[in-house]
Amino acid sequence: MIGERVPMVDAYERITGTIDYAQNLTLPGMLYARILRSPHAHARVIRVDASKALDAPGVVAVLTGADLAADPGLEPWFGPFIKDRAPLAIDKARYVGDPVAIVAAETDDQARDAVELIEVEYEVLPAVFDIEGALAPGAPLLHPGKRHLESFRPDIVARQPGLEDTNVIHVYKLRRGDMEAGFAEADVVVERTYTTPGVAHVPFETHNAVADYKGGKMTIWSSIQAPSSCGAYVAGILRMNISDVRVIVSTLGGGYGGKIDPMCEPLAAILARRTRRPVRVSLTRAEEFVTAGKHPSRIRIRSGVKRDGTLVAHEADVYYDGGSYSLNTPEKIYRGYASTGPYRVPNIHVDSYGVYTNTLPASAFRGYGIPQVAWAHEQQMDAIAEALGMDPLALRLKNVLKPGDQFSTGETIAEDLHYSELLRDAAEHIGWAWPPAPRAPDAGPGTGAGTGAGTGAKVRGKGLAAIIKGTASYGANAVVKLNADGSLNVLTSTVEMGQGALTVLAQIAAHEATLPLSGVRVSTPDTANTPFDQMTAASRSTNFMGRAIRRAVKSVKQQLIDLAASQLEAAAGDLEIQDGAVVVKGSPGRRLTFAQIVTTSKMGSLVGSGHEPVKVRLDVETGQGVASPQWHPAICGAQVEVDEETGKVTVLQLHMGLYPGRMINPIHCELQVLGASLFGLGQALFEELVWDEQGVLTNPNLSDYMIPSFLDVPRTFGQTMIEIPDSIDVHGLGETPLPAVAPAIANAVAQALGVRVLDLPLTPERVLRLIHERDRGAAGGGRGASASGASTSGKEASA
Amino acid sequence: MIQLTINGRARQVSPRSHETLLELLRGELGLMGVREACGIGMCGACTVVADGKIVSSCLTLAGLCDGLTVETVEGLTGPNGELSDLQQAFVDHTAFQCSYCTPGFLMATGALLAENPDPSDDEIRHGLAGNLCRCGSYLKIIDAVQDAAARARVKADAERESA
Ligand code: FES
Ligand code: FES
Repeated sequence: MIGERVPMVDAYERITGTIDYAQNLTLPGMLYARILRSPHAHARVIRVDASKALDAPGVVAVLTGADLAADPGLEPWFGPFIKDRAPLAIDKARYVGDPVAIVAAETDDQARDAVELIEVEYEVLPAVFDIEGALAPGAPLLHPGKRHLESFRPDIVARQPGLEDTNVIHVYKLRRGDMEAGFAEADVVVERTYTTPGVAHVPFETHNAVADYKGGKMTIWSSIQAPSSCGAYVAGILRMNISDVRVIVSTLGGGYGGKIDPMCEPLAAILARRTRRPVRVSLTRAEEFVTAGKHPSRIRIRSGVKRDGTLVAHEADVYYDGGSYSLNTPEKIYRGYASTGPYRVPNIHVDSYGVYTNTLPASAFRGYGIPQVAWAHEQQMDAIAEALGMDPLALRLKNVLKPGDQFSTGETIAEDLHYSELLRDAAEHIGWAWPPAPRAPDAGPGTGAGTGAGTGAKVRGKGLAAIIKGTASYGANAVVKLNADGSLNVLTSTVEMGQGALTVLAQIAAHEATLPLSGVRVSTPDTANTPFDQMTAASRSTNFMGRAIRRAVKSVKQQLIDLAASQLEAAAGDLEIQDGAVVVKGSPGRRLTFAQIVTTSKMGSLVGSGHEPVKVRLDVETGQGVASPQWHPAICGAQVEVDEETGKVTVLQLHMGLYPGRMINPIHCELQVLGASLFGLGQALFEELVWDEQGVLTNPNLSDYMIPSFLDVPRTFGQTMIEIPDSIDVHGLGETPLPAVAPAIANAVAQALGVRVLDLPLTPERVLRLIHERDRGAAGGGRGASASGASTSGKEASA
Repeated sequence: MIQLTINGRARQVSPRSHETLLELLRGELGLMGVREACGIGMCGACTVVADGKIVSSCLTLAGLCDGLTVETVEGLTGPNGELSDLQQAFVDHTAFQCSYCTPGFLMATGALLAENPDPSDDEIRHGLAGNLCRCGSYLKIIDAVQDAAARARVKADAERESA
């Protein structure tokens, strides 16, 4: 059943609308909580007067940051690397939308009304809204003073000294070879600065949780992607044992990385313990928009290249805007290592920064820092090709990682990631030709490359992009229980959020156990019963949890063999497992089913556990070492049409190239590729969080913030998947396609227009402005720049 | 107090003054297949069929629904929980991921197929453009809708022949 297109195991509940999302849960006596949020981007909370709210009908409790700070039963500060966040702002609010107080009432309406009655006196402080502002001398500091670190990552702890009393969250440095010598060797140097904006996850089910506190134990039903970590945070905040905090997750209405950090659970838990009533905290759509998002970025790359296209030097400053709280930013900025892209570069110098600003806390987001660097490095490759007068495909093929090559981190990529094959394949699918062929006559006048200026013509272009993505450095744990009837329970904390984890993990378990799929049930997370798992993210679950499950099943298989040896009076070495039974090799008549073995053993069930360890380590000074247990490639080929009159970009075709290893379930692979590609397309063309000069988000709704609809789906969408037959080695796909999409589209737009957009997204306004600049500058010969700035120099540069 | 027919059953309810049909269906009537994603008529997750027409239940005031006949995803299955052909086609093609949007798509597709029993790729894209899927399952939805349409035509032909 590995490789079979099995429908989702919970398809019936999904298609009948009966599947349980956390938002469906109501408990008897449950209170509803609503959050009061800061209207200021940066403000000291001087005084909160909740008396009117407390007197309002139905109100049971009001909590403020000061209440949290004053409660000896709480340790409110938490965070995965730096403990800089509290469930409610204590003393200071740091962005417009920062939770300041919360009301719990008998009904949701009552809670909503009572929130309005809370009076807060603020002292407004100067604020910073972007990377430049945050790093300017004398910039207001979001988190001055001593930082409280979580100490489990020594490499992160080691880089923190010196950052206190700055807005720098963290720094990652990569030093490889000799950058200056590399640039001295280069014939051409290309330098560009690229930017990406904040983007929202927009899970259709917003963040929500219900907490219930009974008999000294906490139970939380949540929409979180990281239940085990959430349980640990809540236990820390409420000073409880992890064993007494139980987090239950059924299935999510979308996550995409935005549901990794606990946003509702600590508040629900604190209120539940205070009121001794179950409490629900659910975010509205507008609140969802200010609760988590993608890191805006600014990335400057200077590349040194030889005339034949060999990359010899790479220098990059990578800035990720982490917003008001650090969350996973200290770890995420390590993705600066991938600013080279999937290419061999001997001399590298990268400084990657995470920066605090008075905007929403940037969280994990599908692609985890790679989409930002990919936007830069893949346009940079085309800019280099342009400077050399070289075919961008040939430039990529010349430099792309091949088996045995070293990546920027110095690690040898032994595995064949099939870049050359996938690049050629995508090029073929989009009809890549160099130099670009003239456009089809029916598409109007002009050619594909930089003509048609000011004519109002529709121009077409093609683009390619290649990216490399690692995965998270966490091990995985699973437990399996073989029952007396021969059926198998798999206990894991992997979260089903639509990616098909329950189905795919069941396929893996059934395969390893030689059982039919119907004989296997994979649990949903319940931290009182399922083993720890860091998070369902980073495209890691099928591979790492799959391996942990296989190890657990193997342990049970060994127990079955040992038991059957005595039950059959045979030597263990003579036994093998076939189709749910233990058989004496060569005498198929002498066999015992799993059910017979377990029943005869009088143990009722056999239990096995499996752990899949992961080792990564990067040197603090050089950033060299092993950054990921696995590397995933993705290629995108794009074909676009640009309306030069309106600036509108239409994506006509996307062709994705991936290396999934083995597809456990091709349907889910296809869906993940399709979904991640459309995420990329939305970010390429229109998705952007826009703040006004006061730091207020101007588009926190699905009217002003657009996501891809049916009308945005390219007419032609294809995917090439390179598989290793007969293996069950897996490369994750959940995020992998995404980072390649925006730069491929931008490269296609640049080919169509002859000018390059360096800032996402490619909105009609931005594209039109560029067309106008191009047309105005045509007389002077200016070309290829945007507001972010560009320069090309070289002994024989052709630009 | 208003009267509604919900999935074939007469119901009497007393909505609060600002209560939307969405809130009423999910709240008092416990129909969790009706879902809110945007709350402003942009996404189609809350789509139900009211007197034969698709509506965004998030934009519909419950108090104004007196006498309406409303169908939700809960009404699509047969008496013993059998899936409708449309539902089965969505399952066969796995035309969903998180499936939060799925009930809305099913209701909108039912209306589309009632008007156009053989929609082209293009007609499906435009006909369902009011329903968003953040997981991006769109191309599988096209497959499912065309498959369901084909099944319905085969059935209709068979019925004509036997009649
Ligand atoms: S929730 Fe009604 S249209 Fe989006
Ligand atoms: S399947 Fe998740 S929103 Fe459509």
